Amino acid sequence: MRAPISDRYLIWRFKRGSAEAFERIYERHKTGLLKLAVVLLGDVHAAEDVVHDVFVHVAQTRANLRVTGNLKSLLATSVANRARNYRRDAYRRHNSLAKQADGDPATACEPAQWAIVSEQLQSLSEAMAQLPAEQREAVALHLGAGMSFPEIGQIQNASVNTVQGRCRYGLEKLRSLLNSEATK
Amino acid sequence: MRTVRDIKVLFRDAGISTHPAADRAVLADALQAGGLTAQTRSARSGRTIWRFFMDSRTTKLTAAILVLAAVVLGARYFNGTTVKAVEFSEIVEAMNKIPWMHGSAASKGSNAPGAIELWIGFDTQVQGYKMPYGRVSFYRLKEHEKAEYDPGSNTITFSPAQESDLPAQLTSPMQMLESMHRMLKDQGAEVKVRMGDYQGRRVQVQEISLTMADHGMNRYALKLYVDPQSKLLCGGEATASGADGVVISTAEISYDYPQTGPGDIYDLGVPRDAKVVNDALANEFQALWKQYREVRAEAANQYIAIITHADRKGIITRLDVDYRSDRKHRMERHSVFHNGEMVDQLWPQYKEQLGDSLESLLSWTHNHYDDSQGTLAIYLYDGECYGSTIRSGVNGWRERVRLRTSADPSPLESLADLAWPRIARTARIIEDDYARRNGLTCIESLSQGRMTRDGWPSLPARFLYYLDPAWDYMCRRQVTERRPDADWQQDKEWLAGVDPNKTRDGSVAVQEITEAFEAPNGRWYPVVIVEQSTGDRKDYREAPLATGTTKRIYLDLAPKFPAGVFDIDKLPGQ
Repeated sequence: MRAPISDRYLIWRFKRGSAEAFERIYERHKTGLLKLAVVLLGDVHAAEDVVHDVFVHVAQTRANLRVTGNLKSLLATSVANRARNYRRDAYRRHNSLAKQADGDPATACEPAQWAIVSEQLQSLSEAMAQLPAEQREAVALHLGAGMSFPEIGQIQNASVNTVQGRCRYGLEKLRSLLNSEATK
Repeated sequence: MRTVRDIKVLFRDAGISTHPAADRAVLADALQAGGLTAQTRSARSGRTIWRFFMDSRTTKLTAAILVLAAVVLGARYFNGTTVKAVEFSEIVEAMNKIPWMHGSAASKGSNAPGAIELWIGFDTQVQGYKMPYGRVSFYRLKEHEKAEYDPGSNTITFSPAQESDLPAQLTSPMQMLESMHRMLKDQGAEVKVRMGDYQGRRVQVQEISLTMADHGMNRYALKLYVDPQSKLLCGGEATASGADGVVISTAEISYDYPQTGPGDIYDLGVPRDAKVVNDALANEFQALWKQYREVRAEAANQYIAIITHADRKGIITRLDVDYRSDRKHRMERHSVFHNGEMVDQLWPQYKEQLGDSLESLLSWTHNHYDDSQGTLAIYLYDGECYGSTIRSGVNGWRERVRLRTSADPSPLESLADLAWPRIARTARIIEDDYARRNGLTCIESLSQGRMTRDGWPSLPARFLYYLDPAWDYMCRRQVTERRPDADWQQDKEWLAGVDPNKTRDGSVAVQEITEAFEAPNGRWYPVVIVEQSTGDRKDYREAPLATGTTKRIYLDLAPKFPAGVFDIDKLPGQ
C-alpha cells in the first residue's frame, strides 16, 4: 500500500532532524544488521552491542552523515568494522550462542535481550565461527549484506580476486561443516 | 547434502527477530544520542487509548469495557481485595504467551449502536477495530500506517499513523495493563475481587467502579470474569449511569485468544471493491516537496553559471549566462553563430574563441555583447520588476516586456530549473523500477490537455522527476511524455472541433544529469545534462530516443557581479 521510500530520502529527512525517519531506517535495517553481526561474532549479546553502537553512532553523526552508495552497505560496513574491533576486545567475549543452545531460542526471550535468534541462524553462526576471520567476514558481507566483491575489497583492504577467493573457500568450508552436522 | 546455493538460501532465510521493548530502548538511546527527542509514547499513558475509544458517545461504553477489562486485571494494585486475586504477574505472563486477543462487545438498550470488535496482534503489532455502523480501522504499528474504512463513501483511506492515533500501549499486554492501570488509578477506580460464576463455570470476578463525569455519564460499574486456570480474561459486563443513578447503557463482552488474526483491513469485512485513497504517500510528498523547495532556494541563491548548448555533433550553438543573487535574476541567451554562417566550417574557429572555462566563456559573452551583429536575448528580474530585450542581427535592440511581478518569469532554463525543476504541489510519489534500481525517488505530475491562446492544442502530459537524495535531491532524470489519449484527461471531448492538422502526435523527452560535482559549500550541482527525445510520432512509445542537446554548466558560486547587471534601467533597447 505504501511505496517504499528510499533510504536516501529517509537519511535526508533524518539529517534535518526527523526522528520518525530514523525510526524507519532502524525498522528497515535492524534485523539484517543483527543477523550480520550474529554470524560475524557468533555471540548474540556481542552482536546486540555492536548493532546498538552502530545506530547510536549514526544518530550522533547525522549532521556529517553522507551516503553516496547504498545505506545498507554503509551500515553493514560499520557493523563489520565494529565486529572486528569487538573480537579484538577479548574480555567481552562471553555468553556465546553455544551457551544458549540448551534453551529454545525462539522463546528464550529475556526482557534484557534484544535479538531472538532462530535455530537456523544459530547453527549457521556456529559453523561460521569455525571459518578464518577474513573468510567469515567476506562470506557474511557478500551473502548476508549483499555487498559486492569490490565493496568488500575496500573494507578488507584486499583485491577483488582475493575477496572472491575468500568467499569461495569460506563457502566450501561452510558447506562441508553444515553437511557434516546434518549427517550427525 | 547442502549445495552452495542452499547455503545462500540459508543466509537469506535464517530468522532473527527483536524484542519490542528492547527496540524501544535502543531507539531511545540512539535518538537521544542524536539530539532528537524520542517518541515517548508511554508518556501518554492510558489517555491515548481512552481518547481513541471515546471519540463517539454512542460507542464509548462498549469500547471502554474492551480495554478496561484487560486493564483492571491489575486489581491487586487497588484497595478492597477480599479474595486472593489471580496475581498480576501471572496474568501478564499468561498474556505474554498469547499471539492474538479478540474481544467483542455489544450494548443493550434502545439506542444500542451495535457490536464492537477489537483485534490485537501482540507479535505482529497489528490492531483492528470494527465499530458500529460499519466503520473499520486497521493499524500496522511497525509500519506506522493506518487504514480507515468509511462505509458511507465506501472508501478506505491509508495514512501515516500519527503518534496520537496509535494506542501504542496495546503493542504488548504488559504495556497495556500497566498504562491502563495508571489511568484507572488516576481516575480513582475501586476494585473488589471475589469468586463467582460465568457461563456455568467458576471464575474470579473483578468488580470495578469508576466515577468520571464524561458526556453525561457519571459512573461506570464493570464486572470482569477471569479464568483462574488460564489466568486470562474471558468476559465482562458494564453499566453506565448518569449523575442521578439512572442506568444509561449496559454492555456485555466476551474475549477469546486465537492463534491468528486479520492480516489487513479486508479481513475485517471491508468490501474489496472499496475505493482506496492513499494519504500516506500524499503526506510523504508534501514533506519532500517542502524540503525540495528549500534545497533549491538555498543551493541556487548566489551564482554565475554559464550553460553551453551543444548539438549532437558537439558544436556549441548557444550559450546562456545565468546570474542569480537572491531574488534578482538575469539570463543572457547568446547565439554563438551569426545568421547565415556555415556552422560546420566556422566551429573550429569559434571553439578556440570560446575556450573551455568559465572565464574564457564569460569573456566571449562580453565581446559578443559588443558585437552588433550577434543575436542575444536578455531576461532580467530585479526582485520587483521584469524586463526583457532582444537583439537580432541588424535590427538592433528591442525592448519587449516590462512589468511589475511578484515572481521571476524568466525562461525555465536557469541553473535552479535545470537541477531542481519546479514540481507542481499536486504531484505525488510513485513506485517506479528505475527509481528503485537507482536509489532515486520518483515524483509524478500529470497535466491536462488544453487549448492555447493561439488556438493550438497542448497535449496532456505526464512528468516524472527522479530525485536523488545523495545529490541534494537534484532531479537526476526528468521524463516528459505528451500523450494524445491520456486516461487522466478529465474532459474527454477537449479536442472536439479542433482542426486535425493542428493536433500533434505523442512524444517522450528525457533530460538526464549525467555528471555532477560536490562544491566546497557541500552542495551538489550538475555539470553535464543530456537531452533525448523521440520527437512527435504516432509510435512514440516504442520509438528510440535520439540525443538532442547536451548542456555543460560552468559555475561560480562566489560571484562578483558586474556593476549594474541587475539594474533594469540599464537594459539596452530603451
